[in-house]
Amino acid sequence: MWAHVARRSAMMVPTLLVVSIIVFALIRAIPGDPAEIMLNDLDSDAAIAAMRTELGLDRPIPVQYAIWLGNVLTGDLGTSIRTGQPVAEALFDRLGVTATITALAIGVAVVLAIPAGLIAAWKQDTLADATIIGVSILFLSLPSFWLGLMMIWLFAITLGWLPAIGFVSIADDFVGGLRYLIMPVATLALVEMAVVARMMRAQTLEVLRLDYVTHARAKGLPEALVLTRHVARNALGPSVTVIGLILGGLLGGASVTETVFSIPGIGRLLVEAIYARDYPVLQGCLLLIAFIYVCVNLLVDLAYAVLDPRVRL
Amino acid sequence: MTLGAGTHPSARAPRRRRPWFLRKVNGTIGAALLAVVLLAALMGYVWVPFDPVEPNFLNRFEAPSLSHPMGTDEWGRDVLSRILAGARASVTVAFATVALALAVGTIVGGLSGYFGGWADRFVMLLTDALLAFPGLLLALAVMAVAGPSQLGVVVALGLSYSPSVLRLVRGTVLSVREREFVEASRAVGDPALYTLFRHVLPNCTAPLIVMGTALFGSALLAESALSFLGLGIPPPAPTWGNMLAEARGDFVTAPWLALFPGLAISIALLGINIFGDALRDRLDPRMRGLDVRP
Repeated sequence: MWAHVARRSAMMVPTLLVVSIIVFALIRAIPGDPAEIMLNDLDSDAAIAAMRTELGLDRPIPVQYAIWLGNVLTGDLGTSIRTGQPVAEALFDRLGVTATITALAIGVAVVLAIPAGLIAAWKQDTLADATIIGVSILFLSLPSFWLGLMMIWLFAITLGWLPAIGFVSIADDFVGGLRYLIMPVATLALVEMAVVARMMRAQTLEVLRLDYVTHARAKGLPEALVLTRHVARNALGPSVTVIGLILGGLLGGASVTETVFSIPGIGRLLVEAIYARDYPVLQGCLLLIAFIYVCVNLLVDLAYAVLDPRVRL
Repeated sequence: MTLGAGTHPSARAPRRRRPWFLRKVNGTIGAALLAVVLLAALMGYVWVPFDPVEPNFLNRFEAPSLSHPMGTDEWGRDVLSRILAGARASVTVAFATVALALAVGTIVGGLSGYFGGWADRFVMLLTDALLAFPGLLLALAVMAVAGPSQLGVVVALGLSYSPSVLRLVRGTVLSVREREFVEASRAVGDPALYTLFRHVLPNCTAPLIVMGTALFGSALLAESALSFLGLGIPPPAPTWGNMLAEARGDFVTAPWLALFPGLAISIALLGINIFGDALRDRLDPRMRGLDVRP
């Protein structure tokens, strides 16, 4: 088991190295001289030349990459051009916010979607099935940013039940913080629920056809036990993969939802960094999100082995 | 491909055959919604009731009425005209993106899988690295480099989607490469590239159609999201995404500004998703349950 974990973890290294080269190349491809952007137009040529030397821009590109990678590996991601804050610190602050919302959204989505998919497949071609399929495909088709805007319009503006935009940490004010979380979490959860429910339904249909399910029924096991103990366990695998992909995607790709609700998460940080041409922050966001995504995928692979003993280690 | 994989053995007497996507209610609805969107895009090219870009300050923020069925925006522009022009932009970008991703993925994936070797290992390393950027991340990074433009969106999204296509094609090529008919083609002395394009790659057609349909929906949604963030197609050219972004400031007083562009995106995606499901059940049932989202 541990040898397998070590082997799979080692396989991440070349991928992450290429990721770092892509990020480095992208940042360098941005038009304009980083030294001039870091300072501003008013500075003298001498100051800019000094900054170029300080940043190592006068060295050959491979050397620049090696120095940069060394800094990244020791946790030095530079400082934000816009705020002067160390990038690692900014990322850490923002990641907490995004992680809270992501964890809640995934939790809600999974709790609703797994039973929904199971029931839809069990009741295949009935009204219940049609309803679950219909609702799923509807939510799958709603853009999250529009769903968010419509929720703000209904619950915040028209009904006045919830605060429209913003974020309060639940650590500071639990009830108040929760009120800010409801709409963003619901927006993300509804869409992801649809994805998981569809996967769960498709997989359950496959499993229900298998002989051992007939056998479990024939030996007189109550239907509820057949479903939970025998069917659900075997149908869960691909859903776990999908949940892993969603989790990684949400941690990194929630820029749009965070923009709608003005939430200071990592996705918003990324978009703000692009607007402000704040390259150290942009670079830090890209590296961190890709790193998290690769790690989550690794964990999913390993979880497969735990869920399904047939997966050979 | 075996026909009638989903038909019951005790099938009733054969009736007049309808096109496969009309045989199920599902497919019909999807095809109809998709037709509406394509028609809207076509109208965006040919004729729209009012100028979608020129401001007209005499009738700002008009609620929906007979002359402006979807109202007017803060510049006094007709929202319906902008929705139609936006359909044109969204559908064009989505088509171009899918075409780019399919072309790059098929050619690189095909060559890489068929010939193997160190080039294949290098391509797979790059593919894995590109797939390490979830969702919109890679597209956002490319847009940060390229700056907002229509061509930029196509390149950014095309690049984001190519790795998935590449993997699909490469996987199919690897399994087909060893079959007898490929060996036969090699044995009669066909050039390698001829064998690849004539005998190997056609086996990818069905999964590629299914994936292309899903990617079309993803590209449409992703373009809207990028434009919503101000990193897609820049105003004043209307797209559904930048219309929603502009509506954010005024939708307390003029909710129709946010309602209609969002409905347009939802209808387009609903059509593609329903149609795509029917298509997948028909062409490649193994891919069932795999949703591609940006």
